[in-house]
Amino acid sequence: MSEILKSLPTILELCIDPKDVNISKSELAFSLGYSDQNIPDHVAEVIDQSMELIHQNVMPSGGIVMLHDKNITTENDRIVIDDIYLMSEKIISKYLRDSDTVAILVATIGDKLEHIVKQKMDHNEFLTGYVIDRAASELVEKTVQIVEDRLHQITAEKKISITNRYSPGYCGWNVKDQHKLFSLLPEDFCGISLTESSLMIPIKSISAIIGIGDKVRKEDYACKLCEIDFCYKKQAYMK
Amino acid sequence: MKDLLNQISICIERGKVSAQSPHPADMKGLAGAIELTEEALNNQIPAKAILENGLLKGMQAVGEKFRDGRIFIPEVLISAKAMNSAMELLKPYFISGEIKLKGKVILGTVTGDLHDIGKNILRMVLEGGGWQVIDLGVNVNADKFINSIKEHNAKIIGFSALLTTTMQNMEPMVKSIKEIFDDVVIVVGGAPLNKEFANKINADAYFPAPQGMLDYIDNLVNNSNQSYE
Repeated sequence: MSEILKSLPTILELCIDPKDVNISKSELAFSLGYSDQNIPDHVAEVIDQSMELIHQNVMPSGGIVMLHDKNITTENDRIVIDDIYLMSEKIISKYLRDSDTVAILVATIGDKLEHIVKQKMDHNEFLTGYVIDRAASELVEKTVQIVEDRLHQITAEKKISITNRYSPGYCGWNVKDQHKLFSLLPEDFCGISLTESSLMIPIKSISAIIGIGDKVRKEDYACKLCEIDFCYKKQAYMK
Repeated sequence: MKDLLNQISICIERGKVSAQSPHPADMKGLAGAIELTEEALNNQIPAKAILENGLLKGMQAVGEKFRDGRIFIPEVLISAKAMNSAMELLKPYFISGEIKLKGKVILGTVTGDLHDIGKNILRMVLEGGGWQVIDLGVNVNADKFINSIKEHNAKIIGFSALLTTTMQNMEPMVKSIKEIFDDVVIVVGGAPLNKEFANKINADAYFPAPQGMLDYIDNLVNNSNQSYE
């Protein structure tokens, strides 16, 4: 197994074509709470008018850092990477426990859309700002999915499995661990940096960890693993 | 008079800003909230009646629909825009003191957090609900809130946060503010928060959606002798 792991790339920065990161009008309407049938004409028009602006200003990038050169162990409910202790919540650590190694993923759509949203809000165009912000959130999810799919493709070629993707701030994983996670990445990896309060800049960015190995598997849906009912992701899932 | 105020209320509820607004399609070409408010003022209908029985009544209907899950945030924003456009016409009456807003609310995203979408939507909803909002922006610390409370003599504060790290900053901020102003009501909100967290940090209330805060502070005004102006 260790030979297979060693054959995996260590750092991978992906070139993502903005054309591959797109959202349809229906998807955007759905994320706002509507179906094609019940969307108010005004909201539909704002979506129509915003689509070009949204897609012209997505600057996706993403990357993977595989930590097979590091010693990965578990201690109580924590994952230990060399001397870095991650996660004190067992919700996630129990699913990563059997990993032979882990990969850290990051993805962003850049900061152009976030600036446009701010401009719209500053000019009292709240609806347009809100619609673009929702689109940006969906697009960064699509970007990180592209990164995850790439990891899946690489590991599948070696006939090894991966776990679900887990991010600081979700499933009880304290977002403060973001600093520990970023300490394992090259500086400004994919143009993403962290504030003192663990906020990623650009704001529409995602970081995550994924377990890799023979004995791990992907669960059907990550939210069903988590008991935190007030999480907005889980609430969306429950709908 | 009643018919005109009802029409204003419907324009707010449906988000019909003016005659030029093409939406909603079934009201195309009809007078909107702006024209009808002008007509009401020209007909000597008291500004107080226009505000309470026209504009705020419309927003109340919007709030009820949102609470029932019959409409979503975009429609609330559309209605709030119609409301705010009509409110511009009532400005002279606010300045003269003939009518009053319900009170003042100070809003801000707390220290360390730069997310402002939720806070901006809340601002729009509260303004549409007849409140004066003092928006301190993002990354706002306790001192800035305290200075603003002193400056505006405000009694209601709203904290917003979108991160589990920055929501922790709320606890010392609540403590600092309550030490100085024990009568100030602090409402918290943001995706990672819940009621238990609000109780733990000694905040007065938590709401997952803007309408909840509007209903809560409306009740404060209606059910106490305290002035929130």
